[in-house]
Amino acid sequence: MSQGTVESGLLEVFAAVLGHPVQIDATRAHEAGWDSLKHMLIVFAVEEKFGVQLTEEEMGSVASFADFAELLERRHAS
Amino acid sequence: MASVMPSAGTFDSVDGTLARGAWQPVLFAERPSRLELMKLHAEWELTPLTIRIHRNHSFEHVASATCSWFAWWGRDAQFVYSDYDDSLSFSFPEEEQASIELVWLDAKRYEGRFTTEAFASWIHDRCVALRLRTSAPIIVAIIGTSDETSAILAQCTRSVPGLRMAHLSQLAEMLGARFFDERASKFSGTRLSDAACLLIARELSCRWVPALLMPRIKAVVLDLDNTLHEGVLGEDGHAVRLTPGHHALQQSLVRFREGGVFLGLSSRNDDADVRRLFDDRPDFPLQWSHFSATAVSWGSKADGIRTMARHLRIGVNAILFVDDNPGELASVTSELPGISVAHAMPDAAATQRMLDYYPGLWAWETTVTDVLRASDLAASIERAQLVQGRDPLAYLRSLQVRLLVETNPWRQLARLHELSNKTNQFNLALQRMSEPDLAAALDAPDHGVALVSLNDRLSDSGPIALIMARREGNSLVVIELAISCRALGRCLEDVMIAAAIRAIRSELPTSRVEFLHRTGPRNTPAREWLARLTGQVLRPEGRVSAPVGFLLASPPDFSVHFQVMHHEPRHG
Repeated sequence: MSQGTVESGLLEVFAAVLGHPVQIDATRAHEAGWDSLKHMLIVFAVEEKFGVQLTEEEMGSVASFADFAELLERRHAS
Repeated sequence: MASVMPSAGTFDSVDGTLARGAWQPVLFAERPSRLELMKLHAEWELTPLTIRIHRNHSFEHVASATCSWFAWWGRDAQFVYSDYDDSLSFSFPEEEQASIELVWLDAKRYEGRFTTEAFASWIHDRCVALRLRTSAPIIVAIIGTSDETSAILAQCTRSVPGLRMAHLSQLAEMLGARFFDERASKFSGTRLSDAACLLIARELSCRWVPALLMPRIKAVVLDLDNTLHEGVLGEDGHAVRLTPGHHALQQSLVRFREGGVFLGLSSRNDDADVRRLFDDRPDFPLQWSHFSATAVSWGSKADGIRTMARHLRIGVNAILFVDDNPGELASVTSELPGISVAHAMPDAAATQRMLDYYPGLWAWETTVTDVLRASDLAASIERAQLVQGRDPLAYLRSLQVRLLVETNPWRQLARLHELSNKTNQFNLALQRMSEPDLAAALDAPDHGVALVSLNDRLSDSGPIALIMARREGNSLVVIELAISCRALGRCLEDVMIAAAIRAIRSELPTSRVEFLHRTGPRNTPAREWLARLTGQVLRPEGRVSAPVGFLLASPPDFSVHFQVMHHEPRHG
């Protein structure tokens, strides 16, 4: 899976969950609406979209668009 | 946000009908996708409703998934949450009324603290406490219980008026180990997996809530070609294909009929060809005789449905029309405002799921009255044929009518609720009482309630009339009088009402009888009956006395067999 595919897929997930388009530098601390409920909805939607399962530790540690992208690239590389 | 939508799919615009049809593959996928659900945004007006959650684990992940299904039904659900409260203290302001109260518990949090029986008894007590604070319907959904515990809980809470115990075991079975997701529970506040939250959201918004808040859909009218089978009768002849999906869909429709939903057929074909098709295809689970009404012709489908509604004695707003042709759906919608419509999808299994989840089709329980509905209609038609050209009294004598009058019928609370809320034509005061209101009346020492059941040689109509009265000094005031239209047309109104009032009066002795009445959009038959009985011109709303001789009215010149049963009041 290319970096572009991951990025476009994540943009689709974030826009659907948060209800507005996001930039690739979005972070949980600064993005409007990214609260704890939406965080888990992003996690579940990412799992569904990319066919992966995050560990409990990963669920708690991913805190930005870039974290998700990096995690997915790592998963698909391994 | 202000428009009133009495049932799902009542959209008068072609655009609205088509937009809703386009949502169906997402809403009724075997395994719903949260991502796809989140992409759906309603472009039609929604009616708000409020659901109050009393919980000991998170409900937000379920709630967030419900909006698309609720929107498809024309509703915008707002959720109001309690704190996490294992003790169920119900500390909400009483003035804030909700449409539904949902008790949402994870039984694991009580593990080791109760025996099963003690847990069920405690839940019962807490539900009684909630019942005293609200008249809204209560749904109880508890995860983490065995089938046996669920059955005990259901039994234990059955006596709480207006309460329904949700059964989650089927969903748990469907998902197996994926029902729970302990990995995410630390963050989501519930052990439920996302897949489980989605399935529960669909149950809640398509089944549990609509079944409590909207009148039940009484008939499903189906197109034939590419709806009930694959292919076109006019082109493929009797070789039209019954795919596994269509087979399952037809089986599901037969189950609907057995549960009291009329089936109708609306097809642009030659009537004789369609009848022959059903004769020649014994592999069809659905047979011609399963349809209580048919309109097979080259004319307008809206006209055919209108005729079928008259035949079935129901309004078009109690009909769901299913067709694979969006143009037909749009045309019927624009010609018959208030009708519900749905798109028959190429994947018949998806159409079956859509029907299984269509708001207003699913019911919390199937009553005896539901089961009797189709045969009772057939008997009505036979009665109408019998009376033609005959002496009416001879006809009525030949029916061998039997009436059963029961007082304090608290075991039939659900049927009393149906009669109060679904009867339109012979409903004198239109009180539209909730189950808690009815239960309170059954418990009140100055109230009397009678339920009348009707049986004749052609059919058993089951419980068909509700009469409720209140003693006020020396007067017995009939505050609710509702007779199902299934019982009309047999000249029995006077005798059954008089018999019911006599039975109530034997428990609440009074010298006068009065009737409350109110004008509604469709209750002219009841008002005409009262005007005839009293010889008065009725005001739009009010209270009139019955003539002294009314209660002495014995059956006219035909015999009616009466039986009266006085049940003990619920609380002794």
